[in-house]
Amino acid sequence: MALKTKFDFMKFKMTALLISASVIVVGLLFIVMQKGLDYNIEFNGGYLMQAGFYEKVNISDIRNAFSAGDFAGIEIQEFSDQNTEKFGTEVVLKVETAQQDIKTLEKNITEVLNTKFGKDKYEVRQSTSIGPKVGDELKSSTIQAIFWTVLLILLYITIKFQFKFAVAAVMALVHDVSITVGILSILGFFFGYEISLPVIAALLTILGYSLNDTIVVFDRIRENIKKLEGMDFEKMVNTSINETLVRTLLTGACSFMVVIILIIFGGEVIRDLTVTLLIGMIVGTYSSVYVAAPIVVVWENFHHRKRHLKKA
Amino acid sequence: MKEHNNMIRWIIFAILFSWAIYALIPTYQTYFSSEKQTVEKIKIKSDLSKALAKQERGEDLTGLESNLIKTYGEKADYLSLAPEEIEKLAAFEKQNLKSLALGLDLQGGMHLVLEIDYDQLLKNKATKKDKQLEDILAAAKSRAGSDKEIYLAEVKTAFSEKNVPMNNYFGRSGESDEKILASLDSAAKKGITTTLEVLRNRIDQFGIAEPSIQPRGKHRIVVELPGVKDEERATKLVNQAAFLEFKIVADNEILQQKVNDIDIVLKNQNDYLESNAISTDSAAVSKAETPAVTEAKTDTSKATDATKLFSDSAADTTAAAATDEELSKNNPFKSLLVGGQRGEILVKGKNKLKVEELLKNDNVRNVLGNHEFVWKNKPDVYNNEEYYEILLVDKKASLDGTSIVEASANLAGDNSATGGWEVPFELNRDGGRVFAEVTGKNVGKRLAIILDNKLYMAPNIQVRIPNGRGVITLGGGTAEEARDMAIVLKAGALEAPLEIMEKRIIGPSLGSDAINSSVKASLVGSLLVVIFMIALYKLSGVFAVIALFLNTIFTLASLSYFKATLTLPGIAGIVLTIGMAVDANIIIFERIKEELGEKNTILSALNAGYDRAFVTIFDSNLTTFIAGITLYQFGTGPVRGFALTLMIGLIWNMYTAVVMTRLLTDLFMKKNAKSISI
Repeated sequence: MALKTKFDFMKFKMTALLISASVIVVGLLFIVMQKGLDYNIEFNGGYLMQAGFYEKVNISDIRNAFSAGDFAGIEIQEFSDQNTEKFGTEVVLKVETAQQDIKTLEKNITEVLNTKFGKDKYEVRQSTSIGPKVGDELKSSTIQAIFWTVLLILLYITIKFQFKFAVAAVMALVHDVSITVGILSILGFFFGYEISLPVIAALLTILGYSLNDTIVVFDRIRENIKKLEGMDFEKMVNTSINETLVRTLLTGACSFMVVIILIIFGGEVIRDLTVTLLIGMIVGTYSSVYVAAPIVVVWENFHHRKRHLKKA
Repeated sequence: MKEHNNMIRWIIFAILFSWAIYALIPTYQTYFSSEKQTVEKIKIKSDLSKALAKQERGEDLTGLESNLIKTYGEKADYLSLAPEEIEKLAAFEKQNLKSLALGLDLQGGMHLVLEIDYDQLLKNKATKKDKQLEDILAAAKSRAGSDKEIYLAEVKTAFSEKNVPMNNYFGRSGESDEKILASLDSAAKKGITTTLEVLRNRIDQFGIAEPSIQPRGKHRIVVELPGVKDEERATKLVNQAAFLEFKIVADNEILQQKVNDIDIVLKNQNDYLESNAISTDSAAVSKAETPAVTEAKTDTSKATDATKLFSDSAADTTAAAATDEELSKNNPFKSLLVGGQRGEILVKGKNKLKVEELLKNDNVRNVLGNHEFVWKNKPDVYNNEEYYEILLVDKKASLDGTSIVEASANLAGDNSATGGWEVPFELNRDGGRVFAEVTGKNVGKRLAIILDNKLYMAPNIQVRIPNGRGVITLGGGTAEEARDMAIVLKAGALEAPLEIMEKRIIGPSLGSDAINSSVKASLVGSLLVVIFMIALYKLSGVFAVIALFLNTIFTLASLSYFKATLTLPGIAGIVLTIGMAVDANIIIFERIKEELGEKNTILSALNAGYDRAFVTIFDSNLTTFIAGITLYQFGTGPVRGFALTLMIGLIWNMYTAVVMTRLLTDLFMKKNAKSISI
């Protein structure tokens, strides 16, 4: 038999909205504190090289090798990956630059590595050079994509449900993405976490996931509007959330489980993506109960009080 | 009625499933069959033999290559490479073409985003090149920014601001600005199509399996070269303009005349500037020259002082009498030149930039008139110092490389003067006729062979060459260099030069790491999902798992069938669809449980559950699908990969989660059943 719960979720709707708002504000504060998001070179332009040395190499030796010469702003980090036994030391060299001529930079870095460590002592596992133009375009195309997505979803939900549901769903999306980005920024403050392309892919996944969750709840509300006609709107929403609660929790648990597995076994290469997913899924599950539905209720109550409409 | 419907559904399923299996067979063979390991070993062997051959020739090895030799070089079973093994490798790679392609992030390779360099294109098209043109183009470039659409318009504005008619530099004299702009615009538009073609030709000959060369927008080309190991070579191959020209070398008298004239104009210019007490760059340059000249003089064992080259000129007397400082003051240009052993003119490596700067001077350009200096492609080394040869040639090319039909790489015979590699080429009939005419008219003169504004050689024309055949000697160099030159000559020149906007190189080991870890993670994740679903929903859970499995199969089959590539973000897309598929089943089963409490019969509960759940699933999948569409439309590379797999997965999800689980439930549930395993 189906599990029947009767939690009064809507009782805490204002508290929940306040909590969400304050988490967003804290995230924003961190973003402002760090003077904007910490974008990867994919967005800012620059050069990145991941090099694997076959023998163990001291990271400070590598740093010293690049201290002389014109390597202003070079970042050198050790990169550890459980999946690679082949290399003694792996490092990531990164230079953020807005100049178009990355070729020279690339040549100079390779030259230093070749002369100081030997051409046959390491292999380039990956390298990326991005012109600043491409980075700017990537930013604008990502923003464009998100804008159109939100607009079309607003339209679709307005047609299939009502305008207030559409607004609430989009608010839930904004909530999820901004909290996730805020948490990433906090992580960035402490652990140097950057906005990279995989992070964007993860944010998009969260967009889809959160939307899916919200629609399931809304769908039940839509059904109950007809089925439980006459019932107080807030109560009806509460019933709907309770009716879908088992599903929400089961799906949440299942996704959570899979993402944890991805974090453990997925390795360093997709860690940015998986960590972002984990944060987003937790936030997304929460928001379908405590952001989307409360906004609809608050809206409806406001409307109700103002116009004394009969129909809930 | 119901039975009949299900029959049709099963038939549709059978068709879809057979199609999916058919689409996936090559993929299975490529990545999972026992053949894979054999082929991988052959691949290592073939890479090893190439690396060893390179080592034998004494060429520089990359880290990857030396590691290969270190790991496998001692193992006897890796050192033999039978011809049939190479055939097997080739056959296997051919088969690969039909299988699901992995993105560069998974298999390693090079990804390039190239943009037509309009600035350079216009410079190439210009009939006259001077400082003013450079200034105007630079102004237009900075104003247009990254927006190529308005670049030409900005060029026009820049011209009119300076009050310079465009026909000073482009098209025929007297032609209107509009007409010139239109023809430049069409040249730019044609640029991208011809460039695509040339790049395809080059890359085909380079021998890369499954390259992808696609236009993106109006001005860009995306090149993906899977499995490329020597990125420097590949970049050059893609990026090299490969503009071959044949130019007649100016006679010695003209050369001397021009050198003296250049000195005179430069001296006058410097005197004028000095008299105005303004220290300018070029004045500073000529002052700084003094030590260099002294060195050149003491270094007479190999190279003689430039002035001795022109012993019959007026400079002779000057040189004899003048001190070094006066020499550089009176002969700002000549003092930078050094005479070589064979009578050629050399410039010290460290003076190269200064000379280039001097030659850009407008007055010097005027003096040169119909002639120009070209630089040798690589320096000669005397006494551990680099010297670059410069040569005065006709500005107008007698013939260009567009008529080359055949080119190859050859090891020059021992009797050849320079030894090393050479590239024999053959011109088409028209080109051959012009070549014969030019060589016939200029017997006794020298013909400079210039590639991308760099002098390769300038042999004496001894007789008229009637058959349109010639040879370019590289003077040393490697086999690869010769082969690449043959490729670019044959494939043709890039009319519009390309600028590299983005370059990503993923080493093969990183790609396989990514595959290994994501496959491992997906397997463990899937296993957990299977346990989760079966524990929750028993037999229905099994149906759900089957539906999930089918969803994945169908999604991969679609990707493979439509020749899409699977990338890391693509895998993320699949993970999301699997998540949504699990969710769809949870929604259905929870709904049925709910309905079971209200409805009388199991069948009516089932029907009501599926019907209601379908509405929910349809809405949630469709909204996510909408997100997929916009992401695909506006996203670039990796985002698109994600969106594509997401959309395909969602379509299949609607089918497998709703139709397939129902079919399976109907199959296992007896009529009038009293209970259901859920």
